Amino acid sequence: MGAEVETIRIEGSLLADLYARHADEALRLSYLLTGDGALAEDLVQDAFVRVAGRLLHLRDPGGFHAYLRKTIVNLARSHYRRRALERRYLERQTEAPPIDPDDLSDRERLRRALMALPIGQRTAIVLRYFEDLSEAQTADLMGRHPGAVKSLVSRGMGTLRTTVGVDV
Amino acid sequence: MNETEFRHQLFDLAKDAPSGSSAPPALLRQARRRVVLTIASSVAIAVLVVGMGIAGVRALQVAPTPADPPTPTPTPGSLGALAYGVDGDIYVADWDGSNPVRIADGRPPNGGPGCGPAQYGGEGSIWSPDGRYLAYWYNSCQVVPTVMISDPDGNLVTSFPGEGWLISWSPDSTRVAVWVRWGETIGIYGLDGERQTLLTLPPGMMAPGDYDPVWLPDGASLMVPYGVEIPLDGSTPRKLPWADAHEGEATYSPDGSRVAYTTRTPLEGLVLLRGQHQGGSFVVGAADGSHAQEVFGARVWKPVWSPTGDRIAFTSGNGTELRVVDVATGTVTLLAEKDGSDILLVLDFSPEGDRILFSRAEDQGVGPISLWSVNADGSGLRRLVTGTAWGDWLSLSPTR
Repeated sequence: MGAEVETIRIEGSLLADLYARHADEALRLSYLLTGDGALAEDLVQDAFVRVAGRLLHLRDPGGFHAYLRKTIVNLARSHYRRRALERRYLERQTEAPPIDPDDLSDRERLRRALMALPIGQRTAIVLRYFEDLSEAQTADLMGRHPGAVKSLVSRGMGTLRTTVGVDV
Repeated sequence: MNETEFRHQLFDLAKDAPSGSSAPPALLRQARRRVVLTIASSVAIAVLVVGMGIAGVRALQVAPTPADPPTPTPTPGSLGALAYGVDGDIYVADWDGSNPVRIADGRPPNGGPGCGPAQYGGEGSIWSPDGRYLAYWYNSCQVVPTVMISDPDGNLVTSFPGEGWLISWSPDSTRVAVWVRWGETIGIYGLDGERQTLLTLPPGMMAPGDYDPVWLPDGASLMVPYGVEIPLDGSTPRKLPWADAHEGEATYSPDGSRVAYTTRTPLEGLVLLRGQHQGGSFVVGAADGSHAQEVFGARVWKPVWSPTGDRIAFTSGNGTELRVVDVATGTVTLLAEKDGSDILLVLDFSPEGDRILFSRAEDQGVGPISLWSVNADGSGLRRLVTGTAWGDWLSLSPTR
């Protein structure tokens, strides 16, 4: 029993260290997937808690970042559980302030276009172009076939090409 | 914008993310608790496994049960079964969620490394209008998800690949429409699983966002937001007459002669005016665009027209207020109201139009989700099922 208590104490300190090292990166990924700062924080916090629960079984501590990233992607995907809920949530987020589309900055236009994509396309694009993962790595992380990832990226970028002029 | 500029834009966008320089104390407390629970539960599971082995007890598969005990209110005569998905399984239950039977069982991961768990799910009209079949999704480690069509006992009738969320049944129950390539092509499939028609949506016609096609009441066309009609005969898609200058969601009367739709602007202000985005209207008019009348002067979500044609249910207040409008008189009645973080969505009507099925998602959709029903006069509010935000009542209505 004494050994267990010691393990918990060590992991508490380890977690603080891991959080300091990985939180910013995790928050940026979470933010790009959700488009909402508060939600991004919630998801990252949840991801850290979940990963902490498995620290005892983590064979490769160096793989913490990959493990955390996968957990964040899964949490973002399952966050709304239903497309209808995701859509309503995003509508609530974009209700205010009212802005004429012509007045939007390029980055705000991109943010809105990114958030309008289906979650699968958005995730694949963020992992490929922000996290700089290969198609195979993205497929593994998303639990999809590499061909499906290629298709998701292609269609998502096609939409972004039309809406915000991305030419990739 | 080339690839390098796009990457820079993404990085620039990501700067808006909150900063996490130090671990929140609450997080550490939670994480420590989680580790303790992991240890405790490992011990508990080990004890349980040993105990079960000794006793020779088989694990029971517990189906979701109605959250509220049955009430003595009489069951509407022709109100049929409720279909819904929970935890990757599909269930068919009595109208009030009682006596659930699992007809499709989500299975453990089987697709190799990296593949998520296989699961079934449904959103939209799961039941065919004639009540003979159900349509739902099967997701495993495939390139694209699979549409499954089964009978009410779960016996598979056919399956084929598709994309999107909503599987839309034709009014005559003989076909379904799903995306073949999201946002680009739509497939019409028969009950033999053969694709009968492939429809192409011209670029830029559909509203930006994650939407699926639905059938128009005459069964000759599909519709995608905002009000774009896609004829099955392959002729050019067009804006429906009522949809000109509007943007929102629509529901047709059972006979197809009238349409109710939401707009982001007040009825009189069809030109988008600065500062009025948060207003909007709920409008009922003829399907040809004439006789449009505002019935509710604020933006509403997901209106559903009753099969009897006399009522329309919707939510307002950013999804926190459930309302019904009497089409003949225009009288709007508030049926249920939740706090600001809940999301309520109307899903279905009973065949008599006297009862409404709706979902509740707490805490901005992150919290508990459940299915509820309420009578059209506001009485009889009850929770039917927990753990899902989508269900479909079998209506057995020829007009549905």
